[in-house]
Amino acid sequence: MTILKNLGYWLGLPIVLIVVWYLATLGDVSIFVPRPLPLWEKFVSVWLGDNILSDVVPSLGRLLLALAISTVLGVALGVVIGSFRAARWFSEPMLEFLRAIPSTIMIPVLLLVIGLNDTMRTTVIVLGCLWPVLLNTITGVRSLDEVLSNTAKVYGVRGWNRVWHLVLPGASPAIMAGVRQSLAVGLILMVVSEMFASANGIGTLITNFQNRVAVPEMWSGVLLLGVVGVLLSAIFALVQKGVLKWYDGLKAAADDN
Amino acid sequence: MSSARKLAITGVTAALALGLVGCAGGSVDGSAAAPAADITEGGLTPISIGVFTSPSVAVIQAGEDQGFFEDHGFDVEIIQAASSAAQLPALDSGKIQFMLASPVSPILANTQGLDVQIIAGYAQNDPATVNDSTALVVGAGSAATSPRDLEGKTVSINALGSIGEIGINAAVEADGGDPSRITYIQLALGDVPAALESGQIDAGMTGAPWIGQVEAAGGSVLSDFIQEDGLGRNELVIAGNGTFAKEHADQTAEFVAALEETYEYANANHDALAALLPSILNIPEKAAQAQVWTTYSSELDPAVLDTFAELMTRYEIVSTEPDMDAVIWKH
Repeated sequence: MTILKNLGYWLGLPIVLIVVWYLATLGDVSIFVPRPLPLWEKFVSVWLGDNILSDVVPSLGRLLLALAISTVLGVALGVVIGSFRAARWFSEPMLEFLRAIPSTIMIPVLLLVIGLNDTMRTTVIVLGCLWPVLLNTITGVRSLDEVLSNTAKVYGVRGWNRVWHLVLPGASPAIMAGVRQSLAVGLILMVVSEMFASANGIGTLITNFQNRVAVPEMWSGVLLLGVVGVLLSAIFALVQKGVLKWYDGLKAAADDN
Repeated sequence: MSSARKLAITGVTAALALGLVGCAGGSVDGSAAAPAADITEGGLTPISIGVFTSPSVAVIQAGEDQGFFEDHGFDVEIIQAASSAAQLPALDSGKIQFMLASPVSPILANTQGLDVQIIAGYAQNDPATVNDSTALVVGAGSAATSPRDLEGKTVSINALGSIGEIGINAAVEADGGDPSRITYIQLALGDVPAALESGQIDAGMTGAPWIGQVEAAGGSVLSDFIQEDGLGRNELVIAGNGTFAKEHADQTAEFVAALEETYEYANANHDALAALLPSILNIPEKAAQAQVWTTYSSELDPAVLDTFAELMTRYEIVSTEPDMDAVIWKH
């Protein structure tokens, strides 16, 4: 019953909005305005056919690879930078500078340096997704619970053990917040990176539809991106539930007191 | 959850929904935004013409500066955008009345149910010069000697589904090749020299001054495909909002007359056009002086436009055969 109720809440607003949208576009509307039924038909015919393999899979593959690279890189660098004050002082101004550069502006440069290939597109995504993970990891590592940290020191927990059993779990709520931000950034950059000089991908197909005045097809691409976003965040929520189980438990316990 | 709260939420949702419907009433309905050009402002009719960033902007600008449009009763506003496809929504809603486009855009728009018409000619490609418009180029050391050799290769065009795609397909097919084996990618004309040099593309569609840059690096022109396909005489046209052109046929004819005076001036005064380029395209004066100008003419060649329609159908840019009678405006 609770599940049904939750599902109702979850789907309630989308359903209301779709009904409103349907009613508002019943009459004679400009062809640039999307309508729910044709949009859904195009969504099925465009994205659930051959294009899944030729465009959707390559796009998502690049996105997931880039997210994995930026998470690993961001956490590794973040732990090092966050653990040593000297490293922090040394690198922080530079990091703030680099993160402020929109990675899309680097596309023409990367085109020349790396070339028109998947590596270039993946790099564009990594350049955008790295910063939320990295900066959040640094903050997470710096704000480790002092009591825990000192206790670990007293017990002689050092080196790798300290990183694995204290630093990473302690910073994980911050790290997860960073990864969550990078999901949204990554989805945007995935599309943008495919709008330049690409032979496949969701972004390429949407651009192509726009050039061909294939308006419902174009909107169906926009719908697909929204669906991908929802799915990514749902998967992420599951992963987060596993990773932060201890933290949620701790919070619940604290709330009970 | 208490029933009072539930009721409140339902109420808010309903209010929200009503609000949205209210907003939607005017803006969503395309027909409501009928183009209105009979509002006069000091006796002049305000008219907007959409152009994409290119040397051609200088021509319209020169016409406005010379007062040709004013003589015919128009207060012209030039609106720049990246491509003509991007301006179709504005043309459809009546925010702009005319736009510069390849015939591909209005033909395509028509098959999609938009009332867009080809009003007059614009640029005519001169068969004797390659540099006056776009061409297909290859880099230094390319093994390709004719369009047929592009089978299985990667070729860049400025926009997918554009004159580049149908034009190169037709050139390859006319040369005995299979165009379906070409991989097209979208690349700006100016990025072609670097992409050729690093070997990322095998051939690319580009224009002046980049054709010269490719040639200087040891590359060559593989095909002046727009000319070879017989599309050159109406390479660019002026398209218009069909509803406006029909309801205000006299005004549209006046507009075409102003265009004709502009073209006459442009063809005779290349120096004046070149002087406008640095501020319009942000290019150095020297490059502006070197610009090779195409011939401007309002003439529409039905045979050429039919070729456009035929190629677009053959290469599946459109799914239904275009009705050229509906596409070409008649006064």
